[in-house]
Amino acid sequence: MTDARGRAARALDYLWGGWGAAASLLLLLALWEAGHAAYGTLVLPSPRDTFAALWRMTVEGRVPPAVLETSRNALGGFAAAALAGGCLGAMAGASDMMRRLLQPIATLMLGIPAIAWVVLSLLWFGGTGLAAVFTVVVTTAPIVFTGSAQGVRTLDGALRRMAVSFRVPGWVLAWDVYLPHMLSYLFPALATALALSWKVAVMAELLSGAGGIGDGLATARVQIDTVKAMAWVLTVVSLLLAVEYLLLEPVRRHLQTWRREIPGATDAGARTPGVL
Amino acid sequence: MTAPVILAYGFRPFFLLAPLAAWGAVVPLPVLWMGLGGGGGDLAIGAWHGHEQVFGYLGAALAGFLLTALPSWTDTPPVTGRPLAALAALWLAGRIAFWLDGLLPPAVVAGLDILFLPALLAASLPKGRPWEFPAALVALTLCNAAFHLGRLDIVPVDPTRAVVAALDLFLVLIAVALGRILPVTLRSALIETDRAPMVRLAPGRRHLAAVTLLLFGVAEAVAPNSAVTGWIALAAACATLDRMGESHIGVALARPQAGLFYLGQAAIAAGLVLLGLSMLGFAIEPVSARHALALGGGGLTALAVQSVVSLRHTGRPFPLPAAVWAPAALVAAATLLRVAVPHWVPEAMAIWGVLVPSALWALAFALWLHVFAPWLVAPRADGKPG
Repeated sequence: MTDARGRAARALDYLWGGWGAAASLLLLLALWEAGHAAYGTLVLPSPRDTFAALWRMTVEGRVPPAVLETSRNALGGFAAAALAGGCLGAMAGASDMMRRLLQPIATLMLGIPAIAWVVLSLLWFGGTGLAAVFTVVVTTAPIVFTGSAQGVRTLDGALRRMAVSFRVPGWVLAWDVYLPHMLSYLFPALATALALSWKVAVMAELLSGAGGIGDGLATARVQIDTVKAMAWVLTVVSLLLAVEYLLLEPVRRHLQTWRREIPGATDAGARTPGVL
Repeated sequence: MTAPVILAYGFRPFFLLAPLAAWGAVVPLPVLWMGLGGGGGDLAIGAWHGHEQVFGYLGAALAGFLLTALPSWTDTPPVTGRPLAALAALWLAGRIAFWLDGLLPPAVVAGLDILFLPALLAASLPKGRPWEFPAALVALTLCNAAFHLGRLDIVPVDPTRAVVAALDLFLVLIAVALGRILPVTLRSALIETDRAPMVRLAPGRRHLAAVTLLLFGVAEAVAPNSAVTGWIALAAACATLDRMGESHIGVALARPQAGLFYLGQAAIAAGLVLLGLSMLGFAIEPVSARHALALGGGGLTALAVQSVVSLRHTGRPFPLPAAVWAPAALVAAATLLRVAVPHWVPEAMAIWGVLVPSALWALAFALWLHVFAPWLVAPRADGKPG
């Protein structure tokens, strides 16, 4: 009962915190508007024109399919990268030999610029969605790999031995001992990879011309239509913000329950004198 | 020689006198709006009314608050007796000058009105005190000087803009002062509702609110009615809303010492949204948005501050008397009418947008005095000095 109420209060608190984020973004809009006033529409269209253009494009039915296409490319690539990078990373963390074998390759892959991968995948797969998916996989998998390897490698041996000597069943060991520790390394890597996957997908689409937000951006560039280009940028940014604040941040908060202060440990009000 | 009780602490004379300004500022409005008489003198009625509400009423509330809160926070001797009487007289001289505006030459009005804020500044300057309040008083003094110099055509400033700048400054002051008031009032509200008096206020939230409000004030002074200022107004509204999360303390929020400040902040956020949207080209009347800020935000917050200070500094424990809700409800109703009527029933503006809200506002202060004036003129309930 009180737990549910506490959870509801925390959820409200989190949602209410959205106003703070909104304040920050609106100040950025003010800066944008000032830039527009200084440099004119061709360089920087006004926020209102951009919102209007985005609305028009949405009503005309151009935005939703593009968002779907980009999401499919980004999320598909991300899922494959998470699986491959996570498994290989776990192997590298568990076995010294695998680490020696895989780590240099991961480092090398991390070093290759994403744009180079785009060019290669366009040569290999042509102007199809597969090019975007492949680029996302190869650019984000090494990030997940590194996080996963770190997580497994730093597992607390003493904790494991204690669990074993208490005859903790294997699945409990995995769920309650390994997983929470792993997640504290894996989750930041996954969050970074997810955020990167959208950007890389858009980049690949821009060059491949196979639909998606990137394709829209390419068209806007050809037409020298800054308003449309900004509207597409706004679309990507909204997607990123939605993923960050509706998915990643709530999960992050849930995982970091242990960081929360114990209620009653400190009382900031206590230092304030009791009179006005 | 002991001073009379009414001069024993700064809040007593100023909270007793503040309603005079509140009444005086609205008296001529219905007459003018209903076409029963013309405004005397060269000053636009809007600028006159704004000056009296902001520098007159809110100024008195601020003076009562600062002259009481600053000594009590810093454990320094308060201004009492003759110096306090002199301060109150300076304030009253300014009000009388404005009431007689049109009969008196503008230069005389300016001369009578201009001295109060610097005197208040001098009285609240001593060392070891928070710097933000004296800084705000300096800025308010400059706004008032700009008002009078603009009116006298000495500097090219529209007096209305000086009032607007002062109101924006008051919003910042409210945000800053709440940082010191809320920990106390929220705790007492929790105690009254049998909860653990645990209040944890994130400094980041209130600083963000105060800084964005300050930014809005500066933007409005530099580029009034520009889209950039409009976005900043919306940002300040969101930061204020974000900060209102501090007061989400469950049922304890229904206690007046918590709820009234919350309502005041809500009015400020609403006013900023309306003002921002009007600057971004939406069909919203900016003057009504200003009233959400001043009448709703300023009025409700000042009423709450006056009530809490009058209770605590006359040696009385919480809770506030339930009767405090009545004036607050009247001010809230006046705000809703003043903001909504020009948009929804503009043809009824004279009666429902001006006369009725003015009457509600005036009645609110009569009710407030009815509850609190007996405390303000009597010695502390616990027999201590002050």
